[in-house]
Amino acid sequence: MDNAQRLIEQYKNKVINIGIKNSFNLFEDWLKKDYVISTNFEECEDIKRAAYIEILSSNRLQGVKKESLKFLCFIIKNEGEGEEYYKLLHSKGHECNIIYAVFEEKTNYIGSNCGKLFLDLVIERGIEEKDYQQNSIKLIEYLSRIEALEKGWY
Amino acid sequence: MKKFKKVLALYLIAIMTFSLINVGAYAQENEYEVDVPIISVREGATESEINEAIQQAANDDLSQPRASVLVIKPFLIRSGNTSSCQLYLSWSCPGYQCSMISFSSLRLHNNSVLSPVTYSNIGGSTIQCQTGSNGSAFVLNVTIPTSVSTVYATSTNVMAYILTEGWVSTTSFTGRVPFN
Repeated sequence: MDNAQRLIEQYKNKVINIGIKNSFNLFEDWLKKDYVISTNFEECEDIKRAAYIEILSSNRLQGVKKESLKFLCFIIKNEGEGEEYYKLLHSKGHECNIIYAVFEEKTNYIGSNCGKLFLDLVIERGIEEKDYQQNSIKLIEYLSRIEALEKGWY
Repeated sequence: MKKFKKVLALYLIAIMTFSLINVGAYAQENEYEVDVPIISVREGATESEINEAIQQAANDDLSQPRASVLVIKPFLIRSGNTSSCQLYLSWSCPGYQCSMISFSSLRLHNNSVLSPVTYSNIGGSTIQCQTGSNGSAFVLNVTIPTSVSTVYATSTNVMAYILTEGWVSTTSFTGRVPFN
């Protein structure tokens, strides 16, 4: 049995978010949390550079006009529930003053400097029903994120 | 004279034995050395300048001999002429989809025996990647003085998560991380 089949057997029944939530709605939903604040992507040089490097070095821009990219960005406050994300990174020795998440709608990009936050966001965004039904590679990727969250791979 | 030769022979045997023991321990820890390029990108760099930096890192990759279909290499981006740097891991695995990279440890350091400096030392981590057959993933921010032009990386137990295969071991990267 290959890994894809194993993931389907072990994790498909754990998928609860069938249907994709768009980046704007996901962003807005997270802003409702008291430990999340919106920030201006264009003014955060390091965050912007990391997002561009991750997008440009993959093949996500194929067929997308670069000028049409629109980014949204929020920062996690180091307090309340947000504190957990900082504790995780600091416990591994990361120099990290700000934990952030970046969203881009056209490329469907979600990026973060915190693996746990990335997993929380990607899993909440969900999976398209057709991918779920057809056991597509996107479903396999989604199941691998569920497995990562469950096993603490972040 | 004979006594001197005997002493010399014993001395050489001792050195050789010690070296062999060290090689064994080194292999057990699964540590390897690779160059880690440091690419300077100015503050407010345009998209094309960033793209050029990525290409530079990619070309460095291609210049290395490949023993495996899966290649993972680190590179550093320096923010202009500041001490603020970002470490990335780039990967390439044609025909496969990689979604995570993990390692047991990752240390950035100089290569001085007399005055060793560690710039960053992180324990076991899994980096969530943008799934694909190639790409780059942000790992961490690190402060490296502008006077430093060469950095080395030592890593152990580097693995990649291939969607159809699960966790796959690859060569850990350890070695020089050049700054531009």
